[in-house]
Parts: sequence; structure tokens; C-alpha cells
Amino acid sequence: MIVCQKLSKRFGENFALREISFSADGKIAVFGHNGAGKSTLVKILAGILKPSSGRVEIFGLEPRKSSNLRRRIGVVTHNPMLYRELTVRENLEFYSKIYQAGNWGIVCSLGLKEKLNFRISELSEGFVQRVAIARALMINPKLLILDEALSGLDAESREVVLRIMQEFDGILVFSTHQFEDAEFCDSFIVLERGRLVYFGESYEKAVRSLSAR
Amino acid sequence: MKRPYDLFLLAEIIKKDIKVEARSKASSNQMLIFAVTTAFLFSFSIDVERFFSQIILLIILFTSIAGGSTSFLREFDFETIEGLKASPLKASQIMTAKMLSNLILVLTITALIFPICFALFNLEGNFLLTFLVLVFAVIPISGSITLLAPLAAKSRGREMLLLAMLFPVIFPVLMPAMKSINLAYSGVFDLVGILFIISYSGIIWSLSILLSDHIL
Repeated sequence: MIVCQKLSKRFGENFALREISFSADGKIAVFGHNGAGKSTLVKILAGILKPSSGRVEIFGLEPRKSSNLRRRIGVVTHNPMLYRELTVRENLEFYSKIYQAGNWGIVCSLGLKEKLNFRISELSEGFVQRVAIARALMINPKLLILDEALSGLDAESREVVLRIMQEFDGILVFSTHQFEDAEFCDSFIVLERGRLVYFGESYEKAVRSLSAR
Repeated sequence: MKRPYDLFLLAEIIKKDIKVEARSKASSNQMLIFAVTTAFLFSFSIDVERFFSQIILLIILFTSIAGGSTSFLREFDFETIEGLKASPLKASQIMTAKMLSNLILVLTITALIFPICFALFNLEGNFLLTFLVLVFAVIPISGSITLLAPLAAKSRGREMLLLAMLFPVIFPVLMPAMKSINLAYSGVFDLVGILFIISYSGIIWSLSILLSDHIL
């Protein structure tokens, strides 16, 4: 269960998020146009950013404060968070040692077996994103956060990632500005200029509230 | 968290940093070229022996700024720092690992350029003792750069800002370091000076770890 209470994040004078409150479980889609605050929300949930005010709890723990909670969170953002100079294998080995978990089976599912000895800088954008997804999934996460994870992917990779998301057995937070990709989700959050404009279970209402703005 | 696990994590980050540096050579090449060029230019000046401690510290200081900060700043430029922050690592562990890997990098460069300087300047003093004292002097220099580099990371003129922030932090240790290097060159081990440098390094390293949550 993810619980956010009056969550705000300010960068200087500008509010990226303004008093967001919701509690959700299952597969959660986060919609919003560019600059709506999706990435900021996702980074706070992943423990990358500290909220300026308010509270966020995942499984009753604060992500920024609990190492044990972060050990169970897999995160993929538009930035792959991989070392370009290292090979796919070296990157995945590094993270699996840091997380002390390594489900290498996911490497085959994502079609990366032949690419293990390639440096990240030698891979196409689609494969880099697959490696980023493998990094997030190989730790057997209980919470999987995907921020615009489908952007830049070729059709085949999109299919693979969408299937993984639909089959994922845990809490999924999927942030996207292409709402048709997230129709399978259980609940929907719509953000507009840092404010929560819709939270509920209706995909149609979420899409309408986004289109109306 | 258990101690051996902490050490294991530090070792993994340091290993990764060394591997990244060995492949990219982004910092080490920059540092070596800068250091050798500066040493070469100083070798033409008169009375190098008299000002040896100042010259070698100047070379080490600017070489460390040129390259030592780059290795940490690259984590910010490529946003890989977010991967570390999202991981189970604590900010203090990330900071400690970065301090250590930067120290290893600066020490390696020091070990390479010190004999070059000694040869270029045609010096006849105590080589080993001078090198040993220089190693102690490098610890607070490298530590201060690692502490301040993330603070300057988001600024446009970050190298200049880093230098401006670094000078007041590093100044108290430069004078005793120069004195200790001068004494070591003539074969005297300046215990008081070295103890001061070690204590100052301790303060810088402790500050980095204590402030890591705010810095990163």
C-alpha cells in the first residue's frame, strides 16, 4: 500500500508537487502532461528525492529513510541510471550485489542474453531501456516504478515490457503521458501543474479529466 | 546493518568507480596532462628546489581539482547518482565510497607525477620521506574536493565555484603541509605537522559523512 499525505515538493520558488494525498494499491497509473509533476512524484516514491513537506509511506515505511524498503523497490525512469563504460553484465552484477538479489532469469526474458558483453554505450536506446528494466526486475521488487519506461522503445520491446507490467505480481506505479498504454491499471492518478486533479478507479474519468485541461 | 556488509558495499562501489575510470580515462588523462605540463613549465624556473613544496602542492591541488572532481561530477552529469540513491545504499555509504575512490585516483596520479617532478626539477632531497608526507597532504585535499564537488555540481561555472569554495576549506592545511614537505625534503619527519594534517583530514571526512544526506 502506498500512502501519500499532503505531499509537496518545491524546487526554489516553484512547486513541482502541491499537497498530493492518496492511498493506493495494485497497479497504479500516473497521468499528466509534461511538467505535471509525474517524475517528481515517482522520484519521491523511489526515495531519490526528499519531499519538501508531507508524508509518503510504502508498506508503512518511508522510502528515503528505509534501506530495507528501497531494497524492494525497482525503478526505471527515462534516465537508465546505467554506467555507459561498463558492459550489460557488469552493470547488472554491480546492482545485484548492491541489492543482494539477482534474478538472472529476467535477462533471458528481455532478450539480453546475447548482449551481456556489450558496453551500454554500444547499445541502441531500446536495448538500454531493456537493461534498465532488467536492473529493476532482477531484484525481485515488491514495488515496481516505471516512469515513461516505454518511450524510445521499439515495437517488440514495448510488447515485452507491457507484458511484464501486466503480469507483475506486486504494486506497480506506471507513469506515462500516453494513457492508452495504462488501460490495464487498477487505479489512476492525474496530475496537472503539480496538483492532483483526479484519483480513482475509472480509466475513462481519468482520461477525460486529463483531456479537459 | 552488519559491518562486513558495509565494507563489501564500499568495495563494490570503489571497484565500479575504478573500472569506469579505467575505461573512460576521463579524469586520469586530464590530470596527467595537466600535471606533467605544469611540472615541465616549472622545471625552467630558477631555484625550483627552494620553492619545491609550494610548487608540488600547487600541482597536486590543481590536478586534483581538474580531475578529482570530474569522477564524482560524472555521476551527476549522467544521473547515475539517482541509481545509487534509489538503491539500499545510505547517503553516508555513497559519500564514503566516493571519498575513497577519489583518494585512490588522486594518490595514483600523485605516485605517477611525483617522480617525474623530482627528475624534471633535478632535486637531490629525501625522495621517500617527501613522498610519504605528500601522501598525507593529499588526503585532506582529495577529501575537500569530494565534499564540495556535489555542491558545485548544478552550477554552470562549477570548476570556478569549486575552486572558490575549496580555497577557504583547504587553506588551514596548506601551510603545515608546505612546512612538513620542506622538512621531509631535508630528511626530517615533522610529526606535529603530520598529526595536524591527519586531524584536519579526519574533520573533513567526518563532515562529508555527517552532511552526506544534505549534499547528495
